Amino acid sequence: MQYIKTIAEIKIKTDEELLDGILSGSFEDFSLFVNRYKDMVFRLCYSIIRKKEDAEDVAQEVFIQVFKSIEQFRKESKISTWLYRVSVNKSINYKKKNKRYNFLDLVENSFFISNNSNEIQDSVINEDLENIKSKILFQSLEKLPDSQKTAFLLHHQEGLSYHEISDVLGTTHSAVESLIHRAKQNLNKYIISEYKKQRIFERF
Amino acid sequence: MNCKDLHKILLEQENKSALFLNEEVESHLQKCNKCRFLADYYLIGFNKYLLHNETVSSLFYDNLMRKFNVQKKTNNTKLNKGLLILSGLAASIVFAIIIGYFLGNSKSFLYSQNTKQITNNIDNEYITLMSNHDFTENYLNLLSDE
Repeated sequence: MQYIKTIAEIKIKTDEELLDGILSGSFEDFSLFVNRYKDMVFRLCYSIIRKKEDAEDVAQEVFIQVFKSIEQFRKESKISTWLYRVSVNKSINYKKKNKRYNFLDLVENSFFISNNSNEIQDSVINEDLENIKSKILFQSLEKLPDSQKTAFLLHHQEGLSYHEISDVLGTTHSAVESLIHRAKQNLNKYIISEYKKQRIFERF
Repeated sequence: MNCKDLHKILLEQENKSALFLNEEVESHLQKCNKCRFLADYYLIGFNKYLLHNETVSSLFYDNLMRKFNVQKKTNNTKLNKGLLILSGLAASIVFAIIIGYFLGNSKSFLYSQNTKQITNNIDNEYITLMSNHDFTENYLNLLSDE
């Protein structure tokens, strides 16, 4: 019964009402807010951090940050834009703080691609081409500077317009255009380079 | 059309259907595996390859709510501390006013003997001054001159 009531409230309460509730310290409103946006926040954090447990921690920090600084939120922009901004900043800061760890992770991932042992090649053969392409894309994204990667993800994964991305990143429309263009240029380079490393792709 | 030309087209062409309809692109993709591999990202869409099956774990919500309660308590503690400091300040001010009142009131037991002595001395000096005939006369003369 309680569950049904909660679902009904998710549909009824607007973002503004939830924010007002959170401002007054309502546990219920915060809970509804989290349910509404947790997937969106986690998806972006995970795409930037690429480690589930860490992405979850950062996503939690995002929501706590929202609660802490809810009074500073100006209702001129959409709540999703604000959430994206906090998520991007938290994720990038997390990555900077854990640079050494990320480097080791990257080395481990690149081993998967560059190793030419039969065992690895077999796993590549058995794996769906789409999954391989997806892995290559994510690995190529890891090589991009944070600004290019974030702009690219916000546009292609989250479906944000250039204008919305400029709001999230606090930059101009043309700067976003340039970031995404350079991101694609670099991605083309990295994807082709990965393709060349893998003779196995000639089968497809 | 060579590979470089195709990569340039991929970068600049936002319209996917235009890519499909481009005969030169089509014929190059039929010949070149490498470009076909890359073009898939553009023709099918990057978003398809960016999807992942990872979702938040079942503990995510519980952990977050625990953090929320801790944060709420911290905020309340901060608020209580603030209120305590404010009320302390207010009480000090009221206390200072009361003490000041009693210190200034000669009938009060807090009115110090020293202050009383000083006041008495001033009073005596004034009386002596005022009772000085010469001074009073001079003063009256001065007033009449004006």
